[in-house]
Amino acid sequence: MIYFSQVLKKKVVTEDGIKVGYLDDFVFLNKETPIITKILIKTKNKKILVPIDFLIKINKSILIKKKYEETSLFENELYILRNLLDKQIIDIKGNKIVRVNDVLLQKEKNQWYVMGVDIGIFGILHRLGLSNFLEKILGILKFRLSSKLLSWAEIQPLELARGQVRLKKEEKKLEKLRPEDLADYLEQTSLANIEKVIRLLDKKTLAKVITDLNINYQVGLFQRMSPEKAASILNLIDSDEVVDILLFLSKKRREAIMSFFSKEKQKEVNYLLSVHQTGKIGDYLTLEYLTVSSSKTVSEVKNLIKKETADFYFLLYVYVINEKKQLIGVFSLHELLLQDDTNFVYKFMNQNLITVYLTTPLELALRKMIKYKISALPVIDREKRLLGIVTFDDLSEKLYEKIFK
Amino acid sequence: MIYQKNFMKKFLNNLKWRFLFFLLVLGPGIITSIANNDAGSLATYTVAAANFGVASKFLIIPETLILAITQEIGARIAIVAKKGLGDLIRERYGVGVSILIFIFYFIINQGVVIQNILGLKAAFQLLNVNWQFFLILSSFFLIAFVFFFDYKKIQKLFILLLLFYFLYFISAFLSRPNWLDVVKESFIWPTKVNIFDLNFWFTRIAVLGTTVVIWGQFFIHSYTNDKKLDIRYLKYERLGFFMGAFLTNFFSLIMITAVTYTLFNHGIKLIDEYSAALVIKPVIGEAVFVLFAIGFFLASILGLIIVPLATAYVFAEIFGYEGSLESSFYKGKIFRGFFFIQIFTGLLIALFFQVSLFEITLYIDFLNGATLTIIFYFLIKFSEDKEIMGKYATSRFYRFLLRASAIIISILVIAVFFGKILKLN
Repeated sequence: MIYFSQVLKKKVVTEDGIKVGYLDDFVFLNKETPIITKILIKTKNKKILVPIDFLIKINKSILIKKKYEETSLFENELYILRNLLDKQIIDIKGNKIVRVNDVLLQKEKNQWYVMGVDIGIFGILHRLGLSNFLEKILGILKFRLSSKLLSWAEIQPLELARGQVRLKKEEKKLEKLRPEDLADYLEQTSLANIEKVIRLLDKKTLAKVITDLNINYQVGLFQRMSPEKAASILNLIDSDEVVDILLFLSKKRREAIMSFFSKEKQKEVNYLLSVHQTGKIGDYLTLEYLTVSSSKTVSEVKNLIKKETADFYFLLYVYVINEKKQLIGVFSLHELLLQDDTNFVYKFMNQNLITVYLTTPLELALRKMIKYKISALPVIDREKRLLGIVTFDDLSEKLYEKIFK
Repeated sequence: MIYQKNFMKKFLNNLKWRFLFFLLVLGPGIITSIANNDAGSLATYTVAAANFGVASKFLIIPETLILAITQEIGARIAIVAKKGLGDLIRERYGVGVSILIFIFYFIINQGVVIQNILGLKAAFQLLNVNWQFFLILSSFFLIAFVFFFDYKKIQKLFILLLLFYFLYFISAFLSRPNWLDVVKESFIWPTKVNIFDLNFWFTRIAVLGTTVVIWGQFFIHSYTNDKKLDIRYLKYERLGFFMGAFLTNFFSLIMITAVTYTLFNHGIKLIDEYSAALVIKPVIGEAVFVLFAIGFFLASILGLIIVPLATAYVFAEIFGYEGSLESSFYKGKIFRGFFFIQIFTGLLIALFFQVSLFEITLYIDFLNGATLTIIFYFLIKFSEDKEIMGKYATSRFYRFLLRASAIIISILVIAVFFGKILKLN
């Protein structure tokens, strides 16, 4: 991943070392995936547009193929410098929020694309060439600057074509990309991409982002990371969550990571892992639950409850799933009753989910229930799909047996 | 008969609307011209006229044109591009240039704030009270006032200032000036001063700097943006700016005339708050110091409220935060932050450096005047740009005038600067 300001005005050279000019701008396709299609080179007497296919690599200088061709701007193409950099970002209502301080470019599968824009002070320092200097000073003071990113997914391409950088959502206080949003965004890209992005984040944010990632990505990340780094991140994550992740890793890997944990953490995690043998959540799964889509209204949900749950033994929570059957939210009957009949589910559902896996130890599930005061937990698979629920009532039977028999 | 009645009704309605529009668009010009005359301006006019008489308004016609044209161009850019000068500098010249411009702009505005804090000090000294104590007290009151009260209501107080300026008006007449001389010195050619005196040009540029203020150049964008004026009313707008420029320069000429015939002609060149107050003595006699102190106090407060706002506004434009004259901006961190910083810095300087407003006012306004050329450069660039302005690009006459004045001012600034350093005079 690179900053646009780092490549701007760089020398452009052909593979046999002949200087062509300086990089003046990039052209990108103004669509959902903003691929970079052309580069604008400022030669001695004019500016030429060259298709990105002729680009070999970006190093200290920009290397292009010997026999490059010129081209022109197509429909739906925009310049980074002229149409994006330094422009005003407005929210959906037209309120000014901040400006585009820098543009982040990302390479994936031999294609460059616009990953997002930097809206923080770090971006400004980059542009002024002060970021390294300041980072060193702040490093001495043990203070770390982190980038404020805004992903491309949040910008409306249609509005950009009209000359406005408009956000898709209304964001009153755009401090940073929220960890949950960043996780959602990252899940749409590759593991390699995630690795690059998380290098930019400070550890605390990183821990939050990783907690919100799909277990597949979590496992993938911790398999690739050095055990030491993995441990330093996992140290910041709740032990309950840590055990869930560790259980998906190989035993060797798990032990390597755990050797870097703090003593307390080691003790806690070890204990939770040891209770693993006592029984798994999978054995207590209930299939009596109700799911709705997030676009339903309250009255529709109420009707659904009347129609479908008449023979239920237990109903306290209603789960919200998307088209891919992935769990995206939950609300209790109490919360439902408090809403107006015309309100939509997505407006009041809790997106902060407490979940368990089939492999989660029984005791861990109980701990979660007590800690968060929830009487039923959703059980999901690696793709976040809802498999069933486990209720406190069912677990209490097991508890009773354990205590009194 | 019925037809005629309808016609008359229509005509009257039309006239009423036209008049309303006229007032609406006249507003910015007149308000700017009042706001221009803060304590710093009064001090600069007084010092200038005491030393060089009415000649300190030499070249008044081009000066008026420059003021009107720059404001008109600014408003036009604002209406057509829906962007302010700060916005465009950031978008066209990038972060580096815009931060540099902002730092410069901040320093100049801080200078104006210092002028006005020293204006408060002068007012307290005239009233013979412990100025340190009252300066601190009034600064904190000001900060509290702006933080807790509706800003727009405070602005209405400044209508009172018109009364104060009116005193100069009467004084100018009572001092029986030779109007022919006034016209000769300011419109045609100064005869009472040495035109090759670098000090004269230093003073003249300072007077220009306080008439065509930098923050006014940025602020006019904000004002027109907030009024949401339409391009269709540009001709009324233009009239408004010429009217405003005329009034501003008319006021300043009257003030300068009053000073000339009360101080300059009596050889009072060393100016302090007492001699400055003497200007309005012909009108009110012995109560002069008290009244002058009150007027000066108000004029200082005016500057102290408007200038930090102008600083905050440009900051918001350059870094893309919501900036507007609407009330939420006054309650925001940016405005309050700059307000506090600028007032507090001014206060510290006034308390720890024993300077008088009348000693430094020319230097601050000279800096303002010298920087105008940079602003002209951007105004010319943006208003010529077909990409920004489309068919509303500026006329050749405007461009010529702006370029010519930018060149002349630059030459004078360089000459004065080196002259001062090498002590040629």
